[in-house]
Amino acid sequence: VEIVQQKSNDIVTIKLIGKLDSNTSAQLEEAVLALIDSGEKKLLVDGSQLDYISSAGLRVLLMAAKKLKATGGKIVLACLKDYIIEVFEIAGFNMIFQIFADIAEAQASF
Amino acid sequence: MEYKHEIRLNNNISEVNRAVEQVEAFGEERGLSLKIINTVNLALDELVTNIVSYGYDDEAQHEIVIELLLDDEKLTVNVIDDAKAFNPLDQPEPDIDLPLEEKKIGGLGIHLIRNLLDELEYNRVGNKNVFTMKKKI
Repeated sequence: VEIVQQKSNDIVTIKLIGKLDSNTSAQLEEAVLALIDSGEKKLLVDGSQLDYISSAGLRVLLMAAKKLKATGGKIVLACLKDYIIEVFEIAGFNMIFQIFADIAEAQASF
Repeated sequence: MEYKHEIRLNNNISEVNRAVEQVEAFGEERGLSLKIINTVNLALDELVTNIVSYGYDDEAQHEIVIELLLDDEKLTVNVIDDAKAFNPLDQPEPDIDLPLEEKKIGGLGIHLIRNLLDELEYNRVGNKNVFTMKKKI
């Protein structure tokens, strides 16, 4: 997975390009932990170019959501492909994450 | 028509990548949808990671064989390993309705496989685990 970060108005957008699987999820874990440790509270995952997510990727998102909730922040997702939304639904992750159709809507949620 | 492709992996976590690449190449060559390719790759990611991480008590090299069989109606994927006997279908279903604070990741991989694939079967054949997944195309 390639991770592209961009910050504007306190919101850090994390664009994921490629596959979030057992091999690559550690990269996202490292990036997200660094952001949370440096005090970032508003994280937005841009999934427009994310090809798939395995349970290893879901684990990292769950970890991030738990840590951010404790600090009063949150992590939301935008532009997920249909079959990734299906994975979120099967895992019950659609109940604990806000998933938006586009970036502007996701930004407005903070 | 029937098409067959075999992938042989070592019991190393980085080998998952090689399987994924070969499934993609096979799928593109045979005109499978991206959704089916990604579903199979997700299942292989979960299964092979599990086998490599928990399946072996020794430090020896082991082989994991993945067979892809495509006919007019479905893609069949066999995952064959000589790890400890382990039936993924025996694992309890995770409670997916828990709130964020209590939510756990354990068991989620097989839960995804159960829901994304159409048919699943496990057999212990001699000293091998044979896990078969079928997906309608």
